[in-house]
Amino acid sequence: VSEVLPRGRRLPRVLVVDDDPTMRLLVGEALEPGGLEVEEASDGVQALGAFRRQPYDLVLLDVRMPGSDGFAVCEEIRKAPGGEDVPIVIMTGLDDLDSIRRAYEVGATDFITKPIPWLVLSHRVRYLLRASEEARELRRSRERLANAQRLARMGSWQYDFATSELEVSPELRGIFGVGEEEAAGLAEFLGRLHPDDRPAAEEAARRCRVEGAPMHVDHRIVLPDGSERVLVTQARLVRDADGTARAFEGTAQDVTDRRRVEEQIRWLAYHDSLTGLGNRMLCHDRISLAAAQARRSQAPFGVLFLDLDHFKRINDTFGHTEGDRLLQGVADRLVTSVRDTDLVARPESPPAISRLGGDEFTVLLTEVADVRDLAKVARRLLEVLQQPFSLGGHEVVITGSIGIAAFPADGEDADTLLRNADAAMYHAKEKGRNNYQFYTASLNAVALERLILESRLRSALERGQLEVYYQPKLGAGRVAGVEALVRWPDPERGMVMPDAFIPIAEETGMIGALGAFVLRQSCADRVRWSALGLPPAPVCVNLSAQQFRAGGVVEMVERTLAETGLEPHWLELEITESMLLRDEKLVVEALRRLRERGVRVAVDDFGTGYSSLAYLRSLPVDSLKIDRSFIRGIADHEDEAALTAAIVTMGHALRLCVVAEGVETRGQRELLERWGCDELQGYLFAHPMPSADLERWWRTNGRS
Amino acid sequence: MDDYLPKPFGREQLREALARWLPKSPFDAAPIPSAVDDAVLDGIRALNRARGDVIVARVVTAYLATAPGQIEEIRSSIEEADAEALRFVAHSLKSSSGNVGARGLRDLARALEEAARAGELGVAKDLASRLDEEWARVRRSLARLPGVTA
Repeated sequence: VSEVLPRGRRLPRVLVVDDDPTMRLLVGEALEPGGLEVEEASDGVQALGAFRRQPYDLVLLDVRMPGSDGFAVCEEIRKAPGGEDVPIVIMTGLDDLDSIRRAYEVGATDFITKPIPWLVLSHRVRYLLRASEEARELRRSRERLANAQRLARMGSWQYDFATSELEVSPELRGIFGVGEEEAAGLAEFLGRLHPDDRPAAEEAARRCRVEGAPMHVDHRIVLPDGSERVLVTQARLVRDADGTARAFEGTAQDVTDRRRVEEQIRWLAYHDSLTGLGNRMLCHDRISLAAAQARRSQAPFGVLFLDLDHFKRINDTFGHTEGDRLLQGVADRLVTSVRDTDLVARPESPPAISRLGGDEFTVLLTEVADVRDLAKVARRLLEVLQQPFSLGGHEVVITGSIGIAAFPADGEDADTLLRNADAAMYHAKEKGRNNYQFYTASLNAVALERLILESRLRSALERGQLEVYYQPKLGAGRVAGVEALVRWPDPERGMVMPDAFIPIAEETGMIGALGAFVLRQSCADRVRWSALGLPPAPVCVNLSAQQFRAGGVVEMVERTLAETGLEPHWLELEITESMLLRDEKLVVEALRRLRERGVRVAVDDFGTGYSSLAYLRSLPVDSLKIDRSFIRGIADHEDEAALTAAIVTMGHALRLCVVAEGVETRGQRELLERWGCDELQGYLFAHPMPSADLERWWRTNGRS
Repeated sequence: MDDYLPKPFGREQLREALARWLPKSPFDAAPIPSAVDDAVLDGIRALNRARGDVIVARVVTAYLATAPGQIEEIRSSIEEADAEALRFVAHSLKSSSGNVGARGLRDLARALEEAARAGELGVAKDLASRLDEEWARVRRSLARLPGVTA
């Protein structure tokens, strides 16, 4: 019975329509034992009423009935909801061929002749029910497939080799813009193929047919309205049982929208959205590609690295919106000028310009005769840059510095070429900006690193990216002072320590600005701590010999104190022992004047400069900081312990406050305290920390 | 077709079927045909081993209840010269008579139906005159069946 259950578990319902009660009775008796539910109607009106109330799974219909005959009833049932695909079996006399013919015309599914073989009827009906259920399932599955194809914008097709007939799904017609009425032979579909893509598609089809390779082609089609679509066509070979290739069976999917989105994503990944130029990644790829080609062709090419001079000032003066406009303007000029350059041997591959970020641009020049051409382009770029820009109603003139690296002399891969062009650009800045420089081997790695560091430091200083950290000194169980230590959190290198950049700052004169910044920040912080109610303890700021040599230190300190409102006795200036020895007069004179104002003075790194303690006596100094190299050994080496103990004792004898720095262990602390060292500083107590952290630390540890 | 043998059939069923049609003796060559073909009723019985007689009784009872009305209608439609009505009612009688094995009556009804279709009411009238006698034979045969109420 289960095989005849079409839907769920309910019994299949059969309607028997006949005006003859014996017929209805017999049909019922014949079918009910087979698990069918039989209902009766004695005429067409009853039958239609019953069917419209609830469609049946099968209808057995007598032809000759008073009122509307079986044909009319059959037609009506076909129109009723649920009636379009119900099996309708016409019961008719064997002699009545006309009826059988008409029955099919009005949509009957099958006929059965009278006298009806009762035993066979049940099987006949069950067979029809199953066939109808299968047909329904097939139709549902076709609908699902059609829906899926519509959603995926995918059509299917089959091409028979023997008959040259192409069968296509309605979706494929839709995709190819072939109307339902139009002929749909192979020619119609091939005719839509984009002429440029046709050879590849035909080759793939050939390989599929000859070699049996599955076909997978991306190609365009041109619709009747002229628009282009991108399709992925896939096909496989259908073989007979004996292996003979019989047909292609395939799908075509419209991926235009997907490709567009993919292209957009790819564009975004490789381009700078502000200027539309290539970004760093594209620049890198382009250079790599050029290098690969140049290795084959042996033709040189070059990378120009352009950085605008003082671009930050533009942003500061006119705002970022105008700054962005300027960058766009620069991009436009670069594009225009390199396009117009007669050096471009092949107009179809113009020099590739990229914006690496900020105000850094690169120009990749391939197909150059020799490196002098690179210089020519660089000169040209510098010229066009210098035409005034109109920004916020003002005429602005901007210049740039260009570094040039040439393949293969200055590098054979993208990373090296970019790095060396960048280094050469720094060199151009060094040479006074608004010029170009070739990379040369003399810009060796160390010099280069310095150059780069210097440039970055300058920019960090200009942008206020340096920070002041503080490390507490402890004495007599309280915070006796905090030492200001400058830090450079570089976005690319991480935290840069003063050892790495103070010497550069000193050499380049940046130390003046740097020192002034640290002093101002320290004084301002000290004033703020007082306002926050943190205990009074001087802030100690290091001064560099350069600052003394440049002159104006005293005035600078005074001005800073005045402007920040810090009492002088809360400021301690630290100078190194070596400074005292080298620039004795200059330094001593300045310190004396500062001390007169109430500023305290400490000698840093004591013990490294051969100065005698006796000499210290004549200097304007309040405290002595023993160099960390002594402290390191005191717990383990008796000599150093003895020496340090002696320094403490003698410092005291000179009425100097003695400070030990670099205290890292309990052992060191115990010894120093035993010797009566006044103040201790080191990781054992606290690392240098930003102002905010210090404030927290101070509240927690300040009393201990 | 006068009879049928549903497949699969056994030797016994074949023998029975042949026996129904082959002359038993030279003297039996032309027997008076019985009013009702038992084979048709057996076909109905075969639908249900347990309830076969009950089904036959129900069908035959229904037939006996409707046929007189149909015969009456045939006569009145001939009198009223309503060929269309005659055609329908003759068709119905043909169908139901066939169902109960009343072959004579069925053939008569079929002839009436054809006459009606051809518009030959005179022929129909001649045919109709034989209805009563045939119907009486059929009713006698069927009324004997177990469970049948006439």
